[in-house]
Amino acid sequence: MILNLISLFIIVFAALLLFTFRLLQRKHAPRFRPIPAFQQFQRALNLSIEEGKQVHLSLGRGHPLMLQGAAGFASLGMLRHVAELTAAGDRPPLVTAGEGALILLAQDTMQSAYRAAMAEELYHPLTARLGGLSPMAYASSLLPAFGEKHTSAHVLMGNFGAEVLLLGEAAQRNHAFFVAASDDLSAQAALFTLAPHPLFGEELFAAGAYLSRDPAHQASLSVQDVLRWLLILALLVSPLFKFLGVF
Amino acid sequence: MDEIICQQCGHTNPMDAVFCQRCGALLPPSRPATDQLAPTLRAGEEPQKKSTSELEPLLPAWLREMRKGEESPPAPKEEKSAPPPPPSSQPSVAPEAEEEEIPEWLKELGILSSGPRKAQSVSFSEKEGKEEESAAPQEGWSKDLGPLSAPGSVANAFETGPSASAEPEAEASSMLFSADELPAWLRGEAQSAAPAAEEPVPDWLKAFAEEPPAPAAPAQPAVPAAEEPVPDWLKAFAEEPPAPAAPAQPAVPAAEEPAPDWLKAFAEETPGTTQASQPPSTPAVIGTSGAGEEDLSSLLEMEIPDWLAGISAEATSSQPAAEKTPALEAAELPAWVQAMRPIEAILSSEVEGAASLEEEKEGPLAGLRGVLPRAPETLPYIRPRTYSVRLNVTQDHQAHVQLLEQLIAAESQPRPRQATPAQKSGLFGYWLIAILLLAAILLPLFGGTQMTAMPALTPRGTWQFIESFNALPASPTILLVLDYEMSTSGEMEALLLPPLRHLTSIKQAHLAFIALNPLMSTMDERLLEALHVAQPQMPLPESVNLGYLPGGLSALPLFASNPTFAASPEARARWERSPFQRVKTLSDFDCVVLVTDNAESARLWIEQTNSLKYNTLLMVSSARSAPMLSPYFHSGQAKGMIAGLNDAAAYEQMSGLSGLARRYRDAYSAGLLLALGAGGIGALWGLLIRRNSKPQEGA
Amino acid sequence: MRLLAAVLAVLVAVLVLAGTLIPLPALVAIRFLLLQWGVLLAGTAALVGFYNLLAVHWRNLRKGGLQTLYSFILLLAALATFILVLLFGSDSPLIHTWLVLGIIRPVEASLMGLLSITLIYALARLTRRRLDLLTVLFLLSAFFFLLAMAPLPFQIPLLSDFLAPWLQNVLVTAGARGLLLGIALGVLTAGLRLLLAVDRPYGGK
Repeated sequence: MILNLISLFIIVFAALLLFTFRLLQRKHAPRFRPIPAFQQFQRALNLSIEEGKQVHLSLGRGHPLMLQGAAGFASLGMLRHVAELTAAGDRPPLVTAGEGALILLAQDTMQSAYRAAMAEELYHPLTARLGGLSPMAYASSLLPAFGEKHTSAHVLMGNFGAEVLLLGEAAQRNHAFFVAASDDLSAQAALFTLAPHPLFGEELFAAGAYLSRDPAHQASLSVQDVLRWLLILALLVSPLFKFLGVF
Repeated sequence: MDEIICQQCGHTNPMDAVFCQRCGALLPPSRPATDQLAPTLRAGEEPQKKSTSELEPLLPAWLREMRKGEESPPAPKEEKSAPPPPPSSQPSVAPEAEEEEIPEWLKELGILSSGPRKAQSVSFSEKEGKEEESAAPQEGWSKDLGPLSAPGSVANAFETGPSASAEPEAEASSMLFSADELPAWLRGEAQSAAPAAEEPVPDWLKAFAEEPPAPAAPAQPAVPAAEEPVPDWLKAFAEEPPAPAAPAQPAVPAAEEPAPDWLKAFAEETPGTTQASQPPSTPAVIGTSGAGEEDLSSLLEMEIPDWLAGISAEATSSQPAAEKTPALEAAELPAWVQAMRPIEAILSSEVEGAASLEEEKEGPLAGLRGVLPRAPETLPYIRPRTYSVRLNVTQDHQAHVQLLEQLIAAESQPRPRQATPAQKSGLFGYWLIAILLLAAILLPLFGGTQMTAMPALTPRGTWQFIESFNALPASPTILLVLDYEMSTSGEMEALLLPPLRHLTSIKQAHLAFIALNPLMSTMDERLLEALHVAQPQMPLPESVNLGYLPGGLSALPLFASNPTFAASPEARARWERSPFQRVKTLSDFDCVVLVTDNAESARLWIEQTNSLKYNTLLMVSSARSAPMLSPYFHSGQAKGMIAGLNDAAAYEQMSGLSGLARRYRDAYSAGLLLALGAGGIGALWGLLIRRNSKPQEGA
Repeated sequence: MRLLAAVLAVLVAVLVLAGTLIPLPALVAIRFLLLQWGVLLAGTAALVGFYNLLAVHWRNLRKGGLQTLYSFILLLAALATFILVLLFGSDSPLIHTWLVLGIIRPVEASLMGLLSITLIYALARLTRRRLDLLTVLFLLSAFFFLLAMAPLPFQIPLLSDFLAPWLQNVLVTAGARGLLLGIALGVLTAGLRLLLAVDRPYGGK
């Protein structure tokens, strides 16, 4: 029960912080540390648009009903940004996912992005396609995309396991731009050995704020920072209280 | 010089430039003023220099005759028959003695003051291309004319251009007066013009004097005999005695025509007016069509051509004896006539301060003096800056434009991207590692070696796992949660078999299988089959396969409240007939064994079912998830934990079993050692390459 | 329509959250009901995903090219499996033995072996790709723990018995926990954005 109350308090507090930061951003824009992976990704995205090439986005296997679905939603925010930019390009982005519900959401996201870019007639549902349902099947279904000559950038953001290493190796072999982020620790460790600019921890959830510069995403990133500092404070203070016998 | 200097900024421009390249001001014309009004050459035409002798045929007959008369000694001829010598042949003006006879108005005009008179040959030239030749240099004789002495004078300004000059000679010459039609005073002045001239006569003018006069054009009125029809007004001049009172009657109409009033006014003038003072009656301009009475006034206002002045002077000087006509009385012009003559006020060289007036050097008033009012000294005239709309492109601009054009062209032509071949150099290392790894794993596996020693201490998790199994009731209901992928099923089976074998050996357990992965829903048969293979003498435990939990862990609360909510009908039927029928919720199970290779789902399962307080939770985890799940064991939420092949081999050792775990442990050890070696060698190799490449980059 | 979708999403999220945190029977019942609906939707989404897979490869088959053969094999295998499971059931020995154990398991296991080789190769080339302090720390920690955790033919004193377990239980676990806490915060804010309808991936924006 106590845990439920604490959870409820954290959720309400975070919601209030979100509103507060959203209001404060109207006067003072937040400043975040530069993340080279996102800078390189933006550059690769612009280059692919200029060259008329395709961008491949993989959303992972996060089921929307599970905890891993949060990584999927974060990748959907990035998909929205990429789809808006590439809507009128020569080639639409290639979107893959390892979950049926995630594919439906990706199709919806792309359609609204194309609508926002006044290019709804260019949208095709099959630009978002399902890969395999198991991790290895999903990775093997993506491997042909890494060998395509007209695909210049590969972005893997979502719930991936260690099998993401196979995809990174394929990207390296074909000299394609590659950036990946996962909420899985073993995937992060594997990506560190391969990706030129690896992303750790919650940097996956910062994609929306860094790429699309959406005010809501920036506000939520600020909320994350505040909560992180509060958590650090709690981690330092609670052993002291335990030591003192408070609880 | 082939350059023109801008008068505004002093910048040097090429000869053919119209506007200054620096400031854009209008540049003065590069050609002499006389050429400005000359007809332009057609494309491809080269200006042809012509001698004045070639222009002789173009002269009207009377003029030619006049020139002849000037050349030869004055013959005792009547004025009518003796054409006045051409003015070009009159090298000089009448001597000083003759200046007495020169009418004052002529003097004022500055025509007869000095120097030979040269005809405004532009007026006479009726052919194109002769203007440059006939454009006489502005030498002394022209200066004597004053402001109108320049070729581009007012007289020429009145010309209507080449088209006008191209009119047939008939029309042109109809305006001229033949010598016999000129009044005697005028003829005498012209004939008496002394050949000696204070200033040299241009060659072209001499040519007129030397060449025999061309046969008269039909339209030209003949002097001795009127072979051609003579206009009536000219006849009037011919018939009229050289009366001083009628010098200004060049256009006196025929006798049958009534004289205009203004001419009558001339007739009323004092007879003392000499011929010289009479304004010439000949029009100064050729080409004006329709000579009529009305043009006489305009003719009087125009410049007196040199030839006419010369003719007048010669006539005056050469025939002083021939003509015994009384000197013309100086015409007393009425006021209104005098008012209509702005020329005499401007052109006279005897005007006070004429020499001090500025001579215009460009434009239509070139050569004229005092035409434009002088600005006061205190207010110097500054020509306003002329801004040209022409684009001033310098070399730098052109260089930039070329660069921009190259950039645009480069943009439109995509550079062929060199297809970088797939990385082939890494394939050797790939194959090498693969072969070594296979060898390292297969050799211990099939060789049956036991190169690795078992640890002396049993891992705590394994020990507690065994204890938990020992503490179960005799016929426990155990839920096996299969939460691993097919790719790791080999490892997970090796980890799960020892506790299953132990469990079935000590207890008569009832197993329920639930899969969190659709592919694992049929793995219960695989496990049972492997269990049977491992210990064929033991009966298989009773089991129920609850299938796949739809929705994964999101449906855990539903499963926790009703474990069979997603089971198939057959499974439910078996559930009801087995000891599982007493199990209504998740907490009714005697033990829950979570078999997982995913730390996240295990955490979720533990955290979501923590409140259910089921009896025993045991974990079988792969080596990669063990570090993340060990805190749950250490915190007491899980009673036992088997983490990786190490713990599974230890379980086998503790339970006295021999199985795959021990064999796999040796292969696992060999593989890890190979990974260590390959990683270390590769890291050192990379450092060495970087070190060797740095001096090369620096060099 | 987009507004209705956003309102519905927010309402369902609030009800499920309330049913989780507030143990009121009514809320719990609503939560269970909504979860069941969600599970049904997830199953339906899986079917839609399967249809999407077929459509993509059917288009590849019609378009032609290098992927034609693979698309044909995939379509054939998918349809055959679907028909066989419909006919015999998922727990049929035919399905289990031939499809799961005979095809799926070996393929996935071989891919896992390939992953192991790729991992070792990536570790060997790490210093050539990137060389900084973090890379050196990564290499050192990897070697250390491999030595400590691996069953070696020889025993390294103090390493396997004391040092490695302490480092694993303290440093490794602490670092992993830190990462997971950060990820949890990201999950929290992502869920909040969904709850407050700021993010509407269902086409509501």
